[in-house]
Amino acid sequence: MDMQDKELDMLFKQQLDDLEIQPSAAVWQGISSELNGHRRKRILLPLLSAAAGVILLVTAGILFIPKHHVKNDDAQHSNRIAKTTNPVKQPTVVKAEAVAPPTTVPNKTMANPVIAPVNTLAQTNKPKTKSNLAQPVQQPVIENKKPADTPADQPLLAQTPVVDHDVIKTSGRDTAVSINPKPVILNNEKPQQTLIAQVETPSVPAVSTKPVKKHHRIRSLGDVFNVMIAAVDKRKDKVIEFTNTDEDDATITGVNLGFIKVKKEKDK
Amino acid sequence: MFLEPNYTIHQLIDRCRAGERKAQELLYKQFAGKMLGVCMRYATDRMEAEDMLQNGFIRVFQKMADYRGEGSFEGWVRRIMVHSSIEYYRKHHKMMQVVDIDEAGHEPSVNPIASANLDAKVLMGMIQQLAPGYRIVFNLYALEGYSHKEIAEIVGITEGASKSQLSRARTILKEQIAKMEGKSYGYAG
Repeated sequence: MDMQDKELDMLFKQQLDDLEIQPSAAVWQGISSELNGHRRKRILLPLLSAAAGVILLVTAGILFIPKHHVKNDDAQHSNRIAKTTNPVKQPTVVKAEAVAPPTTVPNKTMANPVIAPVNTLAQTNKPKTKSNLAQPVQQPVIENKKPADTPADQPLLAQTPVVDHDVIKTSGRDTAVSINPKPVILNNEKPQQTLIAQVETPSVPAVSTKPVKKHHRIRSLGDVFNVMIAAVDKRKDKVIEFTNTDEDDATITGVNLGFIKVKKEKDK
Repeated sequence: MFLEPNYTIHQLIDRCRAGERKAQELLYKQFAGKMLGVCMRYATDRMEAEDMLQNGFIRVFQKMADYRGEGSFEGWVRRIMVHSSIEYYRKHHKMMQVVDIDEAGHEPSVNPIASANLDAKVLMGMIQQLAPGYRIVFNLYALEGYSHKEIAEIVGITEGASKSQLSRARTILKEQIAKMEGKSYGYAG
C-alpha cells in the first residue's frame, strides 16, 4: 500500500501500453461482412421504402376503393337481378318441378304468364336498367295473349300436332323436350297457373318496394356525407349535396351557399 | 511489419478511403494487435474486447475520410478504439454503476496464463476485474492520459465523479497488487 498513485499508473502504462494481442480471424470477417452489409443496407433501404409504399398503396386500394364499387355493384346486381333475371328463372324452375310431371302444354302457359308480369315491371324499370332487358320483354308479352285464350284451346291443341308449333313459338326452351308425354292432366294445372301467377306477381312488387327503402338507407359514401351535412344544415337545399344513388360514391349534386345555389336535378 | 513493402501508410490510407477491401485488410492487420491490446483494457474478457475491436475498425473505415493527416494515424485509430469501447459499455452495461470497493475487489481471479508476459497479463486481469466505471476512468486517466475534465466529457459524468472513481480504482488495484506480490513470493519460496 505504500505505492504512490503515480507509480501505480506508470506500472500499468509500461506493462500494458504496448501490449499486442492478435485477434481471432473472426474479427476481420465480421468487419468485412459488416462493411459489405452497410453498403447493402444503403441500397436496400430506398428499395424497401419504395416497396413499402407500393404495398401501402395497393392495400389501401384494395381496402377502400373497390369496397364502394363492390358494394354498389352488388346492390345493382341484386336489385336488377331480382327484378329481371331471378324472377324469370326461378318461376320457370318452379314450374318445371310442379308442371313437368303432369303435362307439357300447361308449362308453356305457365311460363308465359309468369314472364309477363315480370317483364312488364322490367319495362317500367328500363330507363334505369340496361337495354338488354328489352329483348326478352317483348317476346313473352306477345305470348301472354295466347295463354289467355289457351285454356279453352288447350285440350284441342294438346291432341293435335298444332301444339308443337305453339310450344316452339312460346318458350322454345327445355319444356319443349318434355312436352309430349302427358297432355291429359291439363285441367288440374290451370288453377295452378293462376295461383302461381298470383304468387309471383306479389313477389315482383316486393322487389319494386326496395328502391323506395333505398332513400332511407345509407348506401354510398355520398349518403354518409348527406346524413352528416343534414345533421348540421337543416335547409331543404343543403350547403352541399351528394348523390345518394348506388352508382356514384360521392358526386356532388347540389351546392347551396346562400347566394349561389346549384342543384343537379335527378330523374327518379 | 504487415505492410507490403510497396505501400507507405499514406498510400494505404488513400486506398482504404477508396473502399479497397484488400487495403483495408492490410491496414487492419497492421493495427489489430495493438488495438486489441487497448480494447482488452476496457473489456471484461477477450470476447468483449474483440467486439469492441470490430466495432472500432468498422468506424475507422467509415470515418477514414475524416482523418486529415494531422497527428499520428495510430493515435487517431487508438482514439476511435477507446471511444468505441466506451460506446460498447454504454450499449451493453450500466456503465457508471458504482460498485462498492468490497464487492468489486474481493476476488481478483487473474487468468493464470504462464508466459513471458505474465506481469502484463496479470495487470490486465486486474483491470478487467474492476467495475466498468472504475476501469474506464482508470484507463482514460492513467493509460490514455486524459484529464478529469476530458474524462467527464467523454464518459458523461462529473469531474468529481471521475476523480472519486479513479481514486477507488487505484485503491482496488493497489490491494490486488499487494495480494499478487504476496502470492508470487509464496510461489517463489
